[in-house]
Amino acid sequence: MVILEETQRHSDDDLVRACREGQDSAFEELVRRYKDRVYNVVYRYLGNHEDSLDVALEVFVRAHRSFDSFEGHSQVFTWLYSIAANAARNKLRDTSRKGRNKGVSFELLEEKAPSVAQAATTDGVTPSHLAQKRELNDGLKDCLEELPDTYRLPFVLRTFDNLSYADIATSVGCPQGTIKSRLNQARKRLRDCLTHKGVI
Amino acid sequence: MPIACEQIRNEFSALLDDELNSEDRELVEEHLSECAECLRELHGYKQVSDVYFYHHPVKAPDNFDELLKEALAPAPSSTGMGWSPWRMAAAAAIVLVAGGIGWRTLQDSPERTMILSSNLDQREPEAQSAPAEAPLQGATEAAIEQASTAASQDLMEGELSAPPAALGGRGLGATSSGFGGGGGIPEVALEAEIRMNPSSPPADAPSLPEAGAPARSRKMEQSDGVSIQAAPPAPAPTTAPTPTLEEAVPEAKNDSANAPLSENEVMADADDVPAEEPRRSLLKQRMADESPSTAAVAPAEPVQWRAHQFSLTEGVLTQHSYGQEPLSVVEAPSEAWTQLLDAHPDLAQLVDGTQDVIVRLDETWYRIDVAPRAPEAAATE
Repeated sequence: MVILEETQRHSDDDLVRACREGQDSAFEELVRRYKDRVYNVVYRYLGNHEDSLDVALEVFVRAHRSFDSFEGHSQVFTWLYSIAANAARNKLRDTSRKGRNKGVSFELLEEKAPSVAQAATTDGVTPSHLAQKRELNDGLKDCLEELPDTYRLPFVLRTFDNLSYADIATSVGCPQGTIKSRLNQARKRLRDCLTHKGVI
Repeated sequence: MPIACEQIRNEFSALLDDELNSEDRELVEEHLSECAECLRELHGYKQVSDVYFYHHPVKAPDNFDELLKEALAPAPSSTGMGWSPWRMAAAAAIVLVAGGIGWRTLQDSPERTMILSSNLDQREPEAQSAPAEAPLQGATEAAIEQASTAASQDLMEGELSAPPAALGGRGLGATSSGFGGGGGIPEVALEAEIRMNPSSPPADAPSLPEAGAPARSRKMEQSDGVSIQAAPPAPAPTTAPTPTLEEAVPEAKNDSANAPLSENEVMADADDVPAEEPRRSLLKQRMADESPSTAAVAPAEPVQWRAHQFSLTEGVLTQHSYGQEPLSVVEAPSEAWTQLLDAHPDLAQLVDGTQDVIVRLDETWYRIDVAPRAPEAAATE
């Protein structure tokens, strides 16, 4: 038997309407739908799990409290990302003021990455391979960390969640042309940094 | 580097992300077919996307839903067991904070109003560049810190048994992770005046350059309010093989890229182009505009005061009439910020380095992003 799951799913707008009516199940579905995406983006931006968990939770708490103010002019996920962007920036600012290390930690790279395939391969893992992998991860981590926040956020939204420029602009609150310019600058700076560190 | 290369490279990210319209894409591809240097440069951009793209996505923790439920749960009411020691400490801190805020507000208000309404043209040059007085948020944090210190001292003296963590940070339920507390930085409305330029330049006046851009390679665009940064010449390896266009942009020859613009694409671009101006290729527009004079910010002109009201919400000082219009973001400090400050010296009154500010200047809304302070600087405060 084929279950046409997609046809039975509620749209995001339906869920928001249900949330406004106080249906907990609708909110739970919305959380289930977006918690991983929100967490992933926030984590790539902030670089540590502790702060990312705080911010991701805060995103849904704020959303839960402000469904009435969501007018539906943008998509639900861009609305959530705009909340996440503000919360993450605040968190980063607070963290920076406290002088806490961000400590970005990257998972293993997949084999598809051309420049890191050799180090990321699981065949015949040797200590030197592990060392290379760690160096690559450190290089990627350092370069992303060195990127100014205004460039890092659009880059994270584009690279790790594949958002369109229009959606990034809505989420970040900038004109689309600004997003394009920032992404270009982000890639250029990362290219220079990664080249300098020998990652690419 | 020829000017054409510089402008073509500004489009590389949009090319890789398939965000160029067909006209601009054709222009870029035509250039790449003749310019090995740019093709090599493009390959470097693509490598960046590749190495970051293939990360495993990070998932939310398994107990995320439980934590969220806890965060959404209303704060537990008093159990009737009396005041626990840490609650007494928190109450003491609240009293001290309220007292501190009230005292600072009483102290600050007249002086702040005076500063904001003073004529900056009569100030000394160094006074114009000096940061304005600490804002209310700063006063709040200072008061909280004072309260925390006082409570900690009490704790050390044995009068309170609360753990210091109960008072740490912003404390009092206003921490960024304190979801159930309903706290947060209070919204504070304050009356202020800022001088606005009565003779606003036309809407197509040069916009601010992108924050953080290197001065030697800055060029600005007039039409869409978006700054264009030119990449400084990168040392291209002479021994590296030049990738083909298909290698650098696998989808470069995709026929769909040349399809007519969809409604969404038109609308998206239209957001950045003045309505009265016929839509044409932005890239062509930029390439046609080689006048270096566009990079100059309009010089400061005599200004007048107009009354405005601002609100302080979660660290962002916002003019009340702001209605979610598009914002040009300027980092402070940056060269762009310096230029903006040159054109509007009174901005120094609003942007004092402790909070972001949204303000309208010359028909354009700006968000002044205050750069996070260095840990050493924060520690000394």
